[in-house]
Amino acid sequence: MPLLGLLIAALLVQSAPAQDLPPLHQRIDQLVRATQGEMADTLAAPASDTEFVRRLYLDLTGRIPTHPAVQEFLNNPADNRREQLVDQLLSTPQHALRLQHTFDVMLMQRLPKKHVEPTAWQDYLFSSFLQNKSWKQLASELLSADGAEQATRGQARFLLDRNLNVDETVRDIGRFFLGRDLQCAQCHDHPSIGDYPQQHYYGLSAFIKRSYLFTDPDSKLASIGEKAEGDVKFTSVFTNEENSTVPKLLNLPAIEDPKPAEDPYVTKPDNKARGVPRYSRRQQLAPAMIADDNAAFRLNIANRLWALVMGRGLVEPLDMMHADNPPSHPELLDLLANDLRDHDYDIRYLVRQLVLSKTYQLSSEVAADASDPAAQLYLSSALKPLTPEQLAWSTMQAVGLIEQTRQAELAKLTADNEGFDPAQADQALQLERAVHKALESHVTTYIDVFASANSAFGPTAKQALFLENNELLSSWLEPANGNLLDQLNATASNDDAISTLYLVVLSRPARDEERQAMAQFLDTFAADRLTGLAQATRAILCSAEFRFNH
Amino acid sequence: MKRNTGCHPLDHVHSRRNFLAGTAALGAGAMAGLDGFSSQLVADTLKSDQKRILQIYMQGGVSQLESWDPKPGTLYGGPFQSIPTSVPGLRICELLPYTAQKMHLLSVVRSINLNTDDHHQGHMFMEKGRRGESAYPYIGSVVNKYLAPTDSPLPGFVHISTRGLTDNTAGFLGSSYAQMRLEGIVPPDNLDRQQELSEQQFSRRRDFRSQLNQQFTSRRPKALVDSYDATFNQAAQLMARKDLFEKQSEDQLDRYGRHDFGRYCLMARTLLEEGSTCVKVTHHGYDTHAENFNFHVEQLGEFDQPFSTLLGDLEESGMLESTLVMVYSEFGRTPKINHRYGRDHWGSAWSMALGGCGVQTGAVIGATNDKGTEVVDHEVHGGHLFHTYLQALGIDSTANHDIDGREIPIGDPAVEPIKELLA
Amino acid sequence: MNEPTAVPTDLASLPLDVTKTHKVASYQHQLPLTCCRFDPLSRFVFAGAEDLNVYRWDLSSGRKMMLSGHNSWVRSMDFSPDGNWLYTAGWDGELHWWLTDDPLPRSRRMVRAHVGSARWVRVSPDGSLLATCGNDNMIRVWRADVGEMIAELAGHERNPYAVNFHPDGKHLVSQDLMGNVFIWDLDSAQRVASIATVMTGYDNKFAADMGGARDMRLSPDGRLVATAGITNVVNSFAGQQDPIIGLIDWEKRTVLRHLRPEDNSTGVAWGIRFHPDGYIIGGIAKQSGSGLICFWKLDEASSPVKVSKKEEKEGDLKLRQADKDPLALKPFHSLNVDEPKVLDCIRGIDLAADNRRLAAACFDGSLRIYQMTEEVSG
Repeated sequence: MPLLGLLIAALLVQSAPAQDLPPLHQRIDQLVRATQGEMADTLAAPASDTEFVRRLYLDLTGRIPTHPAVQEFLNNPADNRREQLVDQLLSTPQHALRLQHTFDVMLMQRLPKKHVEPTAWQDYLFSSFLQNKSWKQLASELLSADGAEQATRGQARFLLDRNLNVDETVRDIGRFFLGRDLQCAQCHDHPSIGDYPQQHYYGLSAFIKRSYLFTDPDSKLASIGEKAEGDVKFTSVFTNEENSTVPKLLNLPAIEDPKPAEDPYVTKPDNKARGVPRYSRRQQLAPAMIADDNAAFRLNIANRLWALVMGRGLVEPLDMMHADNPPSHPELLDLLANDLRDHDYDIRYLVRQLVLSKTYQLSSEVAADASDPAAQLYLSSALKPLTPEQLAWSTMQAVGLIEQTRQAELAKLTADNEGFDPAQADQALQLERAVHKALESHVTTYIDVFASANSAFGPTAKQALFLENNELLSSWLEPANGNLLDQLNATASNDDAISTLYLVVLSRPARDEERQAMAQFLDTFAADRLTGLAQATRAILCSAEFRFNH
Repeated sequence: MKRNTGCHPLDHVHSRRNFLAGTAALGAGAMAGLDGFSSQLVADTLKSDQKRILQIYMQGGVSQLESWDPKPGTLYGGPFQSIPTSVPGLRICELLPYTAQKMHLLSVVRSINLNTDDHHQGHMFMEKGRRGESAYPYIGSVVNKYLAPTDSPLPGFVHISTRGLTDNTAGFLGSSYAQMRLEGIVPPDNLDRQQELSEQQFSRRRDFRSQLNQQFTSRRPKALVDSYDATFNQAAQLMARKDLFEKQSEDQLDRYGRHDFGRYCLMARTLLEEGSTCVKVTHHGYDTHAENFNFHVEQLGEFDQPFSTLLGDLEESGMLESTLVMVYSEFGRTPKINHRYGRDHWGSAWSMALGGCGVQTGAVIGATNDKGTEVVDHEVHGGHLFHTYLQALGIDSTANHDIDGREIPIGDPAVEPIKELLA
Repeated sequence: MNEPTAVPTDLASLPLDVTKTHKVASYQHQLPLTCCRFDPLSRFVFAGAEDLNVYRWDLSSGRKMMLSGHNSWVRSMDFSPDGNWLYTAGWDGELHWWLTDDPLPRSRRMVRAHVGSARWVRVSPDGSLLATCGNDNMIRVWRADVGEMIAELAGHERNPYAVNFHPDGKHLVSQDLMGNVFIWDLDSAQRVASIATVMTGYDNKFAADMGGARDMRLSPDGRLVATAGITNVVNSFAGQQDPIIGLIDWEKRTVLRHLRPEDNSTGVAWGIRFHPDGYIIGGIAKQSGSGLICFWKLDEASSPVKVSKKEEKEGDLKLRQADKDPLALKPFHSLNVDEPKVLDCIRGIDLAADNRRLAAACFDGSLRIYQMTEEVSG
């Protein structure tokens, strides 16, 4: 029968092995193209190699490329040099650092330290991304942590540093693991969002309501204890009805408690010990969260990773996924989510596919008279403001501070460790970490000035003043130890200096008219060449081209 | 694509890039570039004398029953009495004795109904003159665009407040008209240029940076870069006017008060005198769901003297004639008093005060019933008020913005200004 | 609903048992009440309300009378020791004199006591003087017989909420919005001591202070001062702070204890009374809207707590938080003033002269009479 035949064919298509389908990045491009319609006439050109190399370094390693790295890439004759670069960067410790920053800000929202040392947390994230830990495993670890063991305290920060405050914790689990801000739903079914009913909020809270913050009387360390009883009841402000709920994730089946054992505790809770029940409601959260039937889990991460490299989510805001706020490309989002699931939530896999797509690799340049394109059509590459971390690292890179610091740290490590060889992978990592630590305080300075609520981009006069006048930058623009200003100062001509400046700071050659303009600028400083060079550098560091990823 | 992004309690902040993507929904050309004064509307406006606007935003919803529309001795009147003012027949709450003496400089609108009890919705409606339309500009940005001279030494729209939402005030007008936020009167860091740099050199560097940006945006969408660029102009203006952040004089502080709001009012006067076109001062907070009466004693106690001093100073200097003054909240408070001696949100019958440029003084527009539970005469909302502010300033609110060739009505075409308020 | 109750004449001889406290009567007004007082001879019970009047109920007949004369709410009343005169202080700044048993009550004298609200009135032990405080930050002392002002005490920088005479008749005690307790010498009209307490808080979100004595009493022997109010401001614009009764040692001028409700619930403590049989009674409005009457044991409350050096160093942050406060004392017994779905939180309490009956002024307009004895049937 033809219908049966179709059915079988459909099933066969679905279960076709992955290698028969075009790679994900091509399917992405197809789906994006499909929505562009006649606007495709205004499609931007593909990004040039110089555009691509800067953008990729920023997206994957959180900083601009060095001049030698740019040269190496541009001089690579291989046809697939872009793919090679992608694979190269994905395996660097800088990529792990980039993901560390990204997920740190996403999950902890720059909350100050409460119970867990931020460095322990950051180190945990760093090593997780270094080994390419899957999002499934990472989420599971974060949601099942109890902070009881010193060795694994880092991963407990998500829960502990929210004090296990039910409102805050439920809200943030919803936002960062499910893409849904359920906050208002705690008092009533969300006034305007149909599918955030109170049940969702309370069902999620039932996983953690029995848990509490326990402070060890001797060590003073906080960890999570849990009682074996306690129910979640809620009253709708609208109807005054009282409801109760067991743990339940969104619309998935409720998770009933098993029959209570005679002795419900492994460790009874008192003021000396944190309670450990035989059956833990909280420990049901991680498996429920990462289960296949919880589509929201993979839709959320797919959307966030897309937003990370493309500049906006398929659903915006990132924590407002619901029926009345559909994705701009529903089929595409489903594809990304399901493919990620099929690849066991391998973050590196998805990021790789995204940056290999033509959609990602469009130029950000549009025709001179073009009106601003609708961002969700992806007709050109979006401008992405650098995060505070990216801005800090890129600036330090540009002025030569990273290299300076690397030399200094290498000298220290070599002096302290006989036979220290930075060519060895683990020792290279050690050096990298030392550089990172040495420059940390500068990153904090940038965070203080540039960080904003919800990571929204809202430039301020205060930030402009920092860039224009701050003394830290001034100190970086003094020539020393072979840094940028040292190199510029040593150039034979202004023309050489201009070439170097553009290649090092903006990662591209200067155009003719730009050379002229900068030459004119430098001339106004006449004999005070060094000042002129420093000011030219500063002007570029303040410019939009540096401030944005494009 | 119209998106329903859900409710807006104070801490639901939309990301800026979300907004910008959203405005693309208005269609091609909806985003403003570096706009010149090309429209006839603007040219006409510039022929008149320089006008400006002072906004005092009483955040959280000041109780109309404890301020502009008291009903002592009635069912919901509360414990405070009313006092006579400098306008015969007009009484306001006893908590505003200084302001009462200046009411001849103001008019009161007692019949506002915004049909919302939500902080954000109410605030946006009062600022934009339109309900819930995220891309529309605040009144401050509109005034900044049409009234601020291009060579103004100070930012055209300054907001003095220590709190903050990253308000997107400029909307489709473009970031160069956005508010510059001053965090109170504390001078920002890094106000001094590098010592070794002369003023001339600094200036040349700024020009050079500007040149670099022009090159960059010549072939890229302008909105983000413009918003970034605008902050450097603001920074330069602040650097040029560092003196504004010097210690305020003791004499003046005696008159205005030494607490934050007093200092902000003094700063506001200075900014208006020195060339800002719109200055907004936010006074926190009035959202008194508990202890409404004790808290209004405190907050209005803080508000009363500096506000009346500011108003008086503007009048004495002659500036009041050309300065629109608006004192407003995002809604009022419930007549019914709850069990915590509090009043809750009440968007359906509340008040604001208006005065200065182009505004009739000593008028009372509209009325609520005896108990204050509803408007019984001349109901208005944010749309009517928006028209009124602009007309008072000599801007034709029935005309259109010209945004890259696309025409968008300045005020809501469905409503009109409150004619009785216009002088 | 005014329920008269036949009051046993030998009520005072019934054994006191606070754990058996039960409601015996309820008087009703259409608007929320703000305070309540028995007259010294227990003929009547009076209440202020969210209107311009004071109300009087005859305890035997239940008859309700209106005392009209103020132009605003009344939240404080007191009586001459012989019970003949009633003094009321209102938010209109006025102080009124009334004859307690006036068949047709009317104001007999009015004095403009303060510019802005008059928050408090209290009679001196010998009945010759009245003390008031108000929103002009002043404390004033008046002759009770003719209403003449004889002293003005300045010093509070923020609104004083309550003022009281010490039983020695020579001192006054007051507490303001910032929790500061001042002791004044009456003769010189000078402040002689200042005691800081944690009964205040600044709400960062809304930029305002909350605090002050919503009630204040001294123990009959004058050794203790108790004030009812709040601490630990979290979100006071939503009513989220802790109710607290601060107990101060008069001699040592130190804070002895913080009396708190059993369940650490948030709200406001509006009333406090010393019971001669060794209890401190508190009336509390919970943030959620229900009411609490709490009984603390006086001997527990008045014995000082050893605060470790470390705790002292940790400062008043701990003192504000119910679960960390070394001075906290839980009640011996609590009574919920609570009917389902009725907001009936307490705005004030009073103890009758028989020391067996308590009055509670409630938000639902009811003035409830409780009896602290075994229930008497019939």
